[in-house]
Amino acid sequence: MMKKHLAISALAAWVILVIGFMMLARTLDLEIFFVLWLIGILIIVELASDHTATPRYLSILKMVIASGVILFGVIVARKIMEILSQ
Amino acid sequence: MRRLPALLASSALIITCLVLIAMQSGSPLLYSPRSDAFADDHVNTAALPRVTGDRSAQVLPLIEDLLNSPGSLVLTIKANDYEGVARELEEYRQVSRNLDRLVINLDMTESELAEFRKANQENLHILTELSNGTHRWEELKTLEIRYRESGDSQMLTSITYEGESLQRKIEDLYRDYLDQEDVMIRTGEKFNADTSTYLQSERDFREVVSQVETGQEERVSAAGNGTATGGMESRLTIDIIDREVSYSEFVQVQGEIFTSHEIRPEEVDLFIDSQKAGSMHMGNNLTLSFKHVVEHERAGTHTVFAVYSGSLFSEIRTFLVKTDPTMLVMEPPAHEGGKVVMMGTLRTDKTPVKNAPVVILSDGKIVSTVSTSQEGSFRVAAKIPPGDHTVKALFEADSYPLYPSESEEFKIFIPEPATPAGEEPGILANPVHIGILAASICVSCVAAFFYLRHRRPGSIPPAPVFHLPEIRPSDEEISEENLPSGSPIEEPDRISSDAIDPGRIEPGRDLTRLFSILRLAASRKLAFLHPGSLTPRELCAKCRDLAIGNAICRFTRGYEQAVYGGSGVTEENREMLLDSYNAAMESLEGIDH
Amino acid sequence: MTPITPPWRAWRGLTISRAPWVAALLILAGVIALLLHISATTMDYSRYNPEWNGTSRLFQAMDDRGAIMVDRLDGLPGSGDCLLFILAPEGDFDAEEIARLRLFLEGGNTVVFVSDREDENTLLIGLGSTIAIHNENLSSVDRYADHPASVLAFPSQKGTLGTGISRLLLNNPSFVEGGDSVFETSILSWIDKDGNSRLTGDEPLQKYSVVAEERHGNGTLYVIADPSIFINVMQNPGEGNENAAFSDSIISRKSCLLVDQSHSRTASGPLVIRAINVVKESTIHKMAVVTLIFLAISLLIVTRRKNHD
Repeated sequence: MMKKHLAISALAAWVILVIGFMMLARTLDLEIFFVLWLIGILIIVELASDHTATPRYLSILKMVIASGVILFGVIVARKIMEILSQ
Repeated sequence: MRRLPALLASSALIITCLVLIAMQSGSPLLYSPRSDAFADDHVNTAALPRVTGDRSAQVLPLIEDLLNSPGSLVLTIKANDYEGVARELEEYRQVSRNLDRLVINLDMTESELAEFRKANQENLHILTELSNGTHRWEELKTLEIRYRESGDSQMLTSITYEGESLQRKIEDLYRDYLDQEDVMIRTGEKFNADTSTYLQSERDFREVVSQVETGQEERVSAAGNGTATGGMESRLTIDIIDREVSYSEFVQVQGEIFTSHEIRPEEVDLFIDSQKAGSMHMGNNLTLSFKHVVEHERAGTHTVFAVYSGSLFSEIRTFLVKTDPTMLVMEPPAHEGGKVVMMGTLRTDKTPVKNAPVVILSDGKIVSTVSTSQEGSFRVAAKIPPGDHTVKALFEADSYPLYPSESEEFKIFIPEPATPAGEEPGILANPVHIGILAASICVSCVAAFFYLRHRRPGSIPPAPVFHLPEIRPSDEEISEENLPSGSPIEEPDRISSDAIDPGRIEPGRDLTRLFSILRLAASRKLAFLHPGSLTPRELCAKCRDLAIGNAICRFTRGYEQAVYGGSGVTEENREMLLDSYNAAMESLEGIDH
Repeated sequence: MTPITPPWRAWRGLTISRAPWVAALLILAGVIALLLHISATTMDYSRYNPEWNGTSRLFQAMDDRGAIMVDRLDGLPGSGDCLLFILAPEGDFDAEEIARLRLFLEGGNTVVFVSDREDENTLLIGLGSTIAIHNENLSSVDRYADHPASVLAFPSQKGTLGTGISRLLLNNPSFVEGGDSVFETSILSWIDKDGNSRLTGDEPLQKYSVVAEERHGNGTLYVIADPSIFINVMQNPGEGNENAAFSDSIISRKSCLLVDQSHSRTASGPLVIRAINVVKESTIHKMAVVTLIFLAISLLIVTRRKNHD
C-alpha cells in the first residue's frame, strides 16, 4: 500500500470516527465536524510528509489545509460575534 | 487522455459537495435530538429541559394558608390588637404575593386559580381597609369620650359624622367580603382545604359590623336629634347632582352655607369617604360647588360631607360609582429592530382610560407592563424570544371602577436572530464585529501563510551524517527544497549554474542535502516540474533513459539504502555515492554546455 | 539504526490477492450495515426499536424474566395465576378473543391493559368492565419536562399496583373513568380543550385517574391509560423516574407472565426482524436453521473438492 493510500485511509477512518461519535452524541454539527476534520488532516499531512521529497498530493493538501485554516478563522470570528451579540 | 473525464467528474462531485455544505453554512447544526423529539403518541423527554416536579405540593399549602389567614385576622381586628393586626396583615400580604408569583410561574393566569387569586387580593384589600376603619373607629370612641367630658358639641357632631361615614364603609366592606365567598370556598373545597375558618371569619366580620352599627346608633342618640346640623343659626347643606357616576365622570357637589359670622370661603372642606378631597369653591350668594373626577374610586357607595371651619357640618350624602366596561384594542404587532412593537388604546364607551397599567402577555407570560397616556393609548417595544407566540394586551382594572378587558390575540412569529455571518449587513454594521472578522481573517491568513512556508526543524529524519569533501550545499538551494509546488517556475531559475560548479563546492554535512542538490540540478536541466515532489525512485525513473540516468540511479539506490534501508553510510558506499554524485553533476553540466 | 519495515511493505506480497480481499471486506461491512439497518426499526412502541420511542428495554427485562409471548389469544388458559400484559394494542379484538379474555380474567388471572385509545373501550365493555378510556389532551402543572405532554401521576390511596412508587411519569396520556383509581394526576391538571397547552378559564382543574383497577370474579383487571410509560426514554432510570420500577412491579407480579403479541404495536417491526425472531424463539426453528447451515457448508466443501479433482 502506498503512503498516499495509507494517508487517505487514516483520514477516512478519522472522519468516520468523528461522524460515529457525533451520531452517538446525537448531534451532527457541521462546524465541529469541520474543525475535527482539519485537525485530522493536519496531523496526517504532517506525519506523511517526508523532508526530502514532498509529493505533489501532499503539497496540494497543504494548500487545502491553509484554506481550511482561513475558514477556521472565519468560524472563530463567527463564534466570538455570537457570544458578543448575546 | 483518460484523465480529463476523471478530472471533470471529480470536480463536479467536489462542487456539488461544496454547494451542499454551503447551503448549511447559515446554521451548521444538521441534527440534534430536539429535531426529532416528537412522535404521534409521545415526545422525547430526554431532549427537553427538565422542570422541578410536584408543583402542586407548593400550591396546596398556600391555598390553605390563604383560607385561614382572614379568619385569624378578623379575630385580631375584633380584639382591637393593632400590633397583631399589622403583623398578620404583613404575613397575609406575603403569602398572597407567593400565590401571585406561583400563578404567574405556573402559567395559570387564566385558570380558576387565577380567580381565587383575584378574590384573595380583594380580601386582602378589604381586610386592610377594615383594619384601618376599625382603628379609626376606636380613635373616634376615645375622642368622643374626651369631647363629651369637655362638652364640645361641635366636635361631637364631627365625630358623629365621621362615625356615620365609617359605618357605611365597613358595611360596604362586609358586602364585598361576602362576594368573595363563592370563589374562595369553591376553590378551597376543590383543593380539599378546610374552609370552616373562612366561614367563621365571615361571622366574625358580621360581629365587627354590628358592633360598629350599635356604637354609631348610640352615638347618634347621645348626640341628640337637633344638633345634627350644627344649630339653626348656622347651616351648611350639600347636595350631589348626579348620584350615579362612572369612570371619568364628575361628582358634582353643590351646597349652601348660612352663618351669622363672616364667612372665610377657603375653609369649607369636602370629605369623600372621610378623606379630605379638597376645598369647595365659593360662588355668589353663598353657594358652594365642587367637582371631583372619578378615577380611582372603587365601584360601590361612597360618602360625602362638607365641614366649614372644622366645626359646621353638612349632612352626609352618598353617591354610587358604577363599573363600566372597557375596550382594549391592540393593533397587530410589528417587528422593529429585533423587538416587537405593540400599540393600542384602552377606553370605556365614552372616554379613554388615562394612566392605567396595561400588561402585555406572550403565551400567558408577562413580557411588559406599560401605562396608557392621557389619550388612553399605549405603545411598547418588547423583546420576545424567537418562535411562534400568541400575544395580547390585558387591563386588570384593580383599583378602577372598570371591568377588566383584554385585546384580541395575535399570533406572531419571531424569526431566529440572524446568525452573525460575515455577509450579513446587519452584523457588519457593527464596527466591532467588522474588526473581529477582519482580525480573525488576517490572523488565520498569516497562520496559513506560515504553515505553507515553514520548515520543520525537528521533522528531518535522522540521516547519516558524514563529511564529503568538495561539496557545497548552498543555503539558497536548500531553502528551495521545501518550497510549495505553487511556485515551480521560479525554482529552476533560482538555481544558478554556479551551484554545480565543483570548484565552489564546500564540505556538506548530510546525504539528504546532496540528494536535494542533485534533484534540483537535474530538474533544472531536464525541465521537470515540481522538483520538490520527486522521491529518489521517481527521480531515477525519470532520468533512466537519459545518459545521466545511470549515475543518478546509482546515487539514488545508494541513497535509499543508506537513508530508508537504515544501513547507514559505510566506507564503500560513501565512495560509491560520492562518485555517482560527482558523475551525475558533471554530466548535468555537460548538458548545460 | 535498526531498519523499520513500514507496514505497507508487508502488503507487497499480497498485492495480487489484495483486490478480492478489499472487496470482501467492503461487502462484509455493507452486509453488516444492512443487517443492522433492517434489524432495527423506528416504529413507535416496537420491541425492535432501540430508539427513544421503542420498547426494547422493557422487552429485554421481560425476556430476562422468562415472559411468554402470546401470538394467539384463543390459547389462553381458563384458570390459573398468570398475568397477561396487553401493551399498546391496535386493531379490533373479535368476539371470540374477547370471550376468551373474559374467561381468562374471571378464572383468577390478572390482565394489565395499557392503551390510550378510546377504540379499546369496546374490549373493556366486552370484558364487563366499567372502566372507560378517554383520549383527551390531559395536561398538568405537575410535569417533569418542559412540555405539556409530560404529566406526573401520583398514587391514590386505594392502589395495589406499583406500591411504594411515589410517582409515574406519563407522556401524552389519556385518562380513565370508572374502577378504583390506582394512580391519578395532581389536582392541578386539566383537559386542554383548546390545545393551546395553557390553562384557560373553561378548563377546570381536576384530578384525573390514569391507572384504574377492577375485580372480575377472581381476577383483576388493570387499565393504564398511557402506553408511553413503557417506551425506552420513559423507562430510562434517572432522577425521580420510577417508571422502570413500576414496569418491574408489573412483570414480576405473577410468576407466569404472558405478553400479548397478537394485537400489540410492540410486535410491529420489519418482516426480517420478525423472521429472525421466530427462529430465535423456537427451538425447532433454531435446530432447523443450524442443520441447514451445516448442510450448506458441507455441500460447498464437497463441490470444491470435486472441482480440485
